Amino acid sequence: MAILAKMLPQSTSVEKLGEEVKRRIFGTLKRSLYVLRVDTGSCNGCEIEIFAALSPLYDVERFGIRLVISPRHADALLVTGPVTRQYRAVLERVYRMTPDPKVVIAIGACACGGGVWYNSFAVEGGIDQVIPVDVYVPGCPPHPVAILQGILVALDVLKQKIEKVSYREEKPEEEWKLRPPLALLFERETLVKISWELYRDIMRTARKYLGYLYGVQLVKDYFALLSEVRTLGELREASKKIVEAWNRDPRIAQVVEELNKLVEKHFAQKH
Amino acid sequence: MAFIKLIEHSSRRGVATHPYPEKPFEVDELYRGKPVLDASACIGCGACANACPAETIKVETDYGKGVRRWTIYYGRCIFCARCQEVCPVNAIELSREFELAAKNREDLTVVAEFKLGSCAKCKGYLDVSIRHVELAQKLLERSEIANIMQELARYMVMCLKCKRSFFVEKLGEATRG
Repeated sequence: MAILAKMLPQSTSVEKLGEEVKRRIFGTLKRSLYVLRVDTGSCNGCEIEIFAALSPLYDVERFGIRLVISPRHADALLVTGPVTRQYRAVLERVYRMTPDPKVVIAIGACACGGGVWYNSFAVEGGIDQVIPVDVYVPGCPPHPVAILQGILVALDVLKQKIEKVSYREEKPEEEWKLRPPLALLFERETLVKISWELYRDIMRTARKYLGYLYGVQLVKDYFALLSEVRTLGELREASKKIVEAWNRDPRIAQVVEELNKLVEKHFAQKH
Repeated sequence: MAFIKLIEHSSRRGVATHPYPEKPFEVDELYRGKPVLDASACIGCGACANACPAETIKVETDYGKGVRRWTIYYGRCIFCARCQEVCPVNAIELSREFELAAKNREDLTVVAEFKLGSCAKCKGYLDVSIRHVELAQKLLERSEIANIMQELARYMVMCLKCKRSFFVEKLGEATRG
């Protein structure tokens, strides 16, 4: 029995909030929810994630959520795909065949609004063009946990986290704030006055080698460095710190070398 | 008695299932989730709307209200980060938020409105936002060709119609002279 006790989830480690969520789940769900998966011309990316949600890692079956193969057995429809013209009639029929009360959950970008095919002649552009939708789960494809959350939101177990945001500009002069790295161009005094052209070249070089994500991160680090140093020799020394901070990656060292060359070239032109 | 072995094996491995609703789920550091707009940094240029493959980001000019309206519908977003890549002011970034289930289509939208500038000649609305013009002027001051561009800086704060007439006038002067 000791072995079996070890296998059970340890309630002591679960936080208080978790306990409450758990109580709410098993208080609300009186019986199992039978789910029918309807594919209306999806690329099967969403299907892979739905089956991942059924796998032991995420395991939706612990809430009694099971896949069935007939709409007559189903309580909920998990609909994927942008609804092709061929599938429209079938989807309508499946919806009529499902006994009331029923829940329709649109899974993925295609089901929520047509995805990248939203204006194609061959698709209806989303499930809500054909049948009423209860819950939208965006994602291309959505994470298995997001699918699980979508189902639990549909059952009123969890609250939805997202809501409409609207922003209206009142005083344009005061509200506008530049973000780094562009803000660094105007804020600090640097070794060389960073002109727009130098900024552009630094940005281009970093992004050419490192891509949009790491490139911009490196440029931020590099500009912070530029405002600290006084001479070109110091810049060379200090740029080793960046390489150090980026786990001494030889690729980063190469890119930083290129950036140093750009600054030196710019410096030579000015003086 | 084979199942005893199985029980032993399972007890050694422990529970693989993530206790999701009780505990928050941690996605990878580089996970591409909900794109979040920093409206206080955005200039409403529309580069993101141009790049968006699903055309879920839209930027349109409303001359009636005098605003440039930026909208996104997360339902159609494919989380490709092209908007983050092209943004000239780094105002939009993909967060790690992925629990986006919503009961209402409206909840999946974000709307941001930016005031349009005014034309220096006809005092009507400009075709770009005030912030867009300000950024262009700021960058022009920093540019190496700032002295050459001073003449053309006037041209920047004109609406399309006035630009056209301005250009025709200049052309006439040049051909006559």
